[in-house]
Amino acid sequence: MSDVLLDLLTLAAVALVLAASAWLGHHTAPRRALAVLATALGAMVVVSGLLRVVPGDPAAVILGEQAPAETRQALAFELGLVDEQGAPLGLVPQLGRFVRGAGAAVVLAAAPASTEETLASWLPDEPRSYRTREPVRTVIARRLGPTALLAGSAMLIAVIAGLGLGAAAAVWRGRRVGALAEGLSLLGAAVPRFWLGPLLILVFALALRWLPPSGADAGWRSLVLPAISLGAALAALLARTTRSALLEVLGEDYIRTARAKGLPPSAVVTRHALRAAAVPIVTVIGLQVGGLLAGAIVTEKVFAWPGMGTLLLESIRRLDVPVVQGVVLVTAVGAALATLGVEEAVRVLDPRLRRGDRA
Amino acid sequence: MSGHRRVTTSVRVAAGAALAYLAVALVGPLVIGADGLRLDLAHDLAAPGVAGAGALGNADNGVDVLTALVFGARTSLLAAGAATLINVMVGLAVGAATASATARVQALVLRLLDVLLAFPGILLAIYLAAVLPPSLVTVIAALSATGWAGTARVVRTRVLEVRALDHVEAARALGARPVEVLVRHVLPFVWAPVLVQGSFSLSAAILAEASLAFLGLGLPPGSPSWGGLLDEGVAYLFVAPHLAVAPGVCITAAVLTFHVLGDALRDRLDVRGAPAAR
Repeated sequence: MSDVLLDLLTLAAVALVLAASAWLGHHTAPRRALAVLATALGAMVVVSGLLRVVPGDPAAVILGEQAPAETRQALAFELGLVDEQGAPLGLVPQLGRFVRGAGAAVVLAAAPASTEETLASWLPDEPRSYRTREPVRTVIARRLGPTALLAGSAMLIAVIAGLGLGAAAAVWRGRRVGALAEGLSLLGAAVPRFWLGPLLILVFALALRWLPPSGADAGWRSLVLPAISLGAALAALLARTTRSALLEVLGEDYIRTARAKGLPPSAVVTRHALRAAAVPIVTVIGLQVGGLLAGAIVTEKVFAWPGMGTLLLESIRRLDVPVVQGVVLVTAVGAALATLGVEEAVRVLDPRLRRGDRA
Repeated sequence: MSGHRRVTTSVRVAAGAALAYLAVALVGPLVIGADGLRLDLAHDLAAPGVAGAGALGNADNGVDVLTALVFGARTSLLAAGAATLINVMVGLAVGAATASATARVQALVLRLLDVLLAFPGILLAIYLAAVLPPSLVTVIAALSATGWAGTARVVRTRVLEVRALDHVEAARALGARPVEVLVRHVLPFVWAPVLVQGSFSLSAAILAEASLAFLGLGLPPGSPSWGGLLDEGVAYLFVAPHLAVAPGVCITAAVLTFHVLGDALRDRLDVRGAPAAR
């Protein structure tokens, strides 16, 4: 009976957070943090609950009909679809177990290593890799660093190239340099990551032999091509955003004043215009972090980069569903956290938004 | 103005490319026939120009690249087109229903849409494709899982705008029922942003379908698709670089076509605020 109570309590907590964040909106910092928590919980409900829409027996679909009955039942138990005896569990116990397991993994990942054993005896069972029996959090922790490095470098490249191209397109509007910058940004937006990657490999690794074609063994030289191929689309989008934001600002009176008082053109753009154009640019960056993290899956496959994307694809191939669920959750929460961080940055950048709650 | 003429030229090219995409996808497989899809192990990965190779060379197991591309266009249109249709229909229904609800319900739905949109769409698509059995239906379901949320938001905004117009006010004063007002007087003014959204949505769905196939999560093995061909191209990049070029050109061209078309429609129909999908 206490199990049923625990399930209901877990679900009540989830429902409460979802409803509270929906009701309050997400305009002040604590409410936004609540919105991130709601996204995380919503993602858990989706990731676990979706197994219910799989036609027939999900374990059989995932493992194949030929898999022995014990293996199928073991996976079904792992996924919270049946209990120890093999009797099917309802949606509520399934979700309850999943949310509690994920919660336990988060607590264990955050706690110092010395307290791990004590904590583990108190907490509900954490999810483990179906294949290696390792906790999912340790599997993911190994791959988090390379993905963060790749996504971070791609973001850096995108911001530098995007702002540069966008500013060039706006300042030299109607001239050849401006047209070139515009063309480059349109091209960057249309070429898919999983094609740009192979093209870069063909040119810079095969023909010119400047950089390694794949892997992560050659230090920074391994990072260059993956980071460019992941960041190019975002660079193109940022270039378009920067261009239109700058064009709007460059017509303003205070820009004319800055020019009239004799400031060099570069200072007018960097010190006055770009600062005023920062809000839409930073907003776009925040909205695109999720896309960048998801795009890393494709990029990591092209370059055999040892991050979370290749982990996800390996786990899908090995039918290790708990790890797949873990990677999907971590990526979704990472995207939500980044969006939150950027919204805060916009408030700092735009004095008009600093006071009062309404954006 | 020269700027204006340049825009119309690119729109004409995009419209032509869109028609070409439809024609190749619908009629192409009938014209070219499935002969090229047969295995021909003697001419495995043959480059264009080599004896036994097709016009664009051969893929893994000697499959003709041109034939595979034509059949891949059909897969691309079936999956992306169906997903876009679902996105638009569900988005219309949810958006219109939300706009008719009370302010509190609207706030609730908008927050739920936020949560949905915060979830990277392709990530959910990968998860769905991983846990569902590989089939066209799975791919369509994966592509339309979150895509409708953006349309729903655009439709809600537009319905609220149109409902404030005079003719709607007049219809209501004359005693028309709420459903009648919505269907006869509001929805006819909503098609413009929906068309723009649909074009962007199709562009995004073509890209997502290719991504899934590239990751090996598309149709069952053996079904030709652009993303799948490109996957082979990457696997044999140093042996058969010709294989990575043609499918990449097709995907880029199709994505660009419907993106440019969406941009043009937005300018032409004067729709503000429709997001540039990517």
